[in-house]
Amino acid sequence: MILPLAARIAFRHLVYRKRQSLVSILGVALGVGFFIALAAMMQGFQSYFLQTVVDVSPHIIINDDYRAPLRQPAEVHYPAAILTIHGLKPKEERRGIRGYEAITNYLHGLPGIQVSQALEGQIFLTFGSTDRNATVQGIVPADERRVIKLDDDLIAGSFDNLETVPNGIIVGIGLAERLGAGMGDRLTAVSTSGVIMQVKIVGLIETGITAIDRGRAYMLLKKVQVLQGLNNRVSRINIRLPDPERAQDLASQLEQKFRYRAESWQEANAGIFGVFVVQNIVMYSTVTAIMIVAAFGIFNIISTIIHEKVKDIAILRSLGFYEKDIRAIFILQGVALGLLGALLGWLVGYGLTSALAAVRVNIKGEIKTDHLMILWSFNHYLLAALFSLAAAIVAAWIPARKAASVQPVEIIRGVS
Amino acid sequence: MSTLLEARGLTRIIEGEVSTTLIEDISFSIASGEFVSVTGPSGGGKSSLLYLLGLIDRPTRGTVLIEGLDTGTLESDALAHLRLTTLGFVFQFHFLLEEFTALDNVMLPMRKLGVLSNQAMIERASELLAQFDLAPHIHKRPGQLSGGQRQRVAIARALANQPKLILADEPTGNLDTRNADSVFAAFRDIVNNFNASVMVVTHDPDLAARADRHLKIIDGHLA
Repeated sequence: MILPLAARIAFRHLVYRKRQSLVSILGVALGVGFFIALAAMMQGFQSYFLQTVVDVSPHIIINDDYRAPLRQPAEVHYPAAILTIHGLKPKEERRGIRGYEAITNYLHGLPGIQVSQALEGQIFLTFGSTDRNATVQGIVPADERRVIKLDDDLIAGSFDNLETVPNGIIVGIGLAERLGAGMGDRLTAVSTSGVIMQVKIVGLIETGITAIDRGRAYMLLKKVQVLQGLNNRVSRINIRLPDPERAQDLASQLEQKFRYRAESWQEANAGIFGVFVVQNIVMYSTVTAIMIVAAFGIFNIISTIIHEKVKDIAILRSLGFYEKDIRAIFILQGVALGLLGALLGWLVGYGLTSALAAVRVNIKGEIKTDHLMILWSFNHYLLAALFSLAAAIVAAWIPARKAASVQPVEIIRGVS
Repeated sequence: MSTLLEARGLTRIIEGEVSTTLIEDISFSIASGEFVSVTGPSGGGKSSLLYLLGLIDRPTRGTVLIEGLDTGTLESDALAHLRLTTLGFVFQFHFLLEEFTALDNVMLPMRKLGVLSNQAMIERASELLAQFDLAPHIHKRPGQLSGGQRQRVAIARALANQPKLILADEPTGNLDTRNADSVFAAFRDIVNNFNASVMVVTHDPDLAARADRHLKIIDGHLA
């Protein structure tokens, strides 16, 4: 293959300094490798969490409360007046969403949207001498199944059992363990309104998120309405969208229309996403630091070559090479080091990521897992390569400019 | 014979705390196919004149015309192109690229010009090297060649693009008598067979006498 002349000269220079070139390539490779491994691990965790949140929870929940208090009639009629209202007593209302059927009908009219209703309430579950509180969700399994991936987390029993077994209940695995109960066991459920009901465990769920597994239970909507003393009421309308990214926009539209607080999954998890942003900043900062060190390695070798080859540069210029030809030689060296470093870095990154994927851990807490979550994405490889190439070009550009500005007569005069 | 190169009032002053005049008001011309030698005491301005004629330095005053073209008006890239196509340099030190073989070194200006095919470039470079008795050494690197061989490779490289003028700055300064003699024979050969002009700076009066015309520079002036 006939290489362009600048590439030929650049290649020879690098091959002639194998050891120095190799060290520079290794520097870039380590930067690229660490970036790939770190990105796979961090984004692996983030996307696992995101996926779990998106799968387990509805994309939008319309709650039975308001984001802002109702405006008083005086405030509505005299918007320009300076008003101070004292002694306001909140209106005593039955808990739940008023007119939820109208809202549900409206939502059913929107394309691709799945809707379910739930009544959520607190209950005490007693098994033998152990009692634990839990948040019980009253659901209609067939509807709920369309909104969240209900059955994916089921490790025993079936949601359909709620329909077939009188007073059936499905509990999180953590809750069952804490109660010391298992499938088929009968528990006593006591609601905050004082209703007592004997329930039977007909299913167990495990989401991997400890807070859910330890505190959630499911019963039929009708049964929870009885337990809570809220007949014909729901506390939440759950919505699933074809595109979860639209949740934020639709939630604010629904809130404006129906006034009830509509919370998107992004809003519900805003705190965690903030942590992810910080995590990403830390990751990119670390990798940037590594790449800067690698870029210094490239800068160093190219500066050394230019220093050693200043005579050759002068002779090439006197032979008729343009300034841009000289610049190209050294920028190409940077590109070659960056590219080879990136390719080797891909292997390093793949190896490190595989090693991380094989690591066994025992994490218990909000997230429960026995292995590190890894996201295998070619984008990480591409990004790392682009990053390293950009760093290499910048590192080469600075000495290359200097080389191109060499005045041949000064060098030749100095040597002669 | 037509005028190939004309120097008009060439002056080169290096500015500094104390300005140094390297050459002053030098005018002369070189005809096509002419062999010119330049002698003079060290520091007299011989090399400085050659750098100005070779367009790798710019005069403080005056100008160089090559085939009637005033080079004083040209930008850096245009000057580089003239060096590539019209001029050939041979220095006291061979200035070959260490990483390249003799063949590759001779091919460098051809590759830069990019007119010939790769095969044609190899053939021409091989022929040039053979003409200077370097056929067995074409794949050797400069480090594997003797001083005389290296200098002959440098001459072959200067001829690569069939220049109209070869400028040689004390090309025999580091060579023994036998090698110096062969280099001068090569220059004579270039003038006779390649129809190019040669201008050689030398300290050796015997070698200088072998040229068609002899210039002497003392203290930056033509004597």
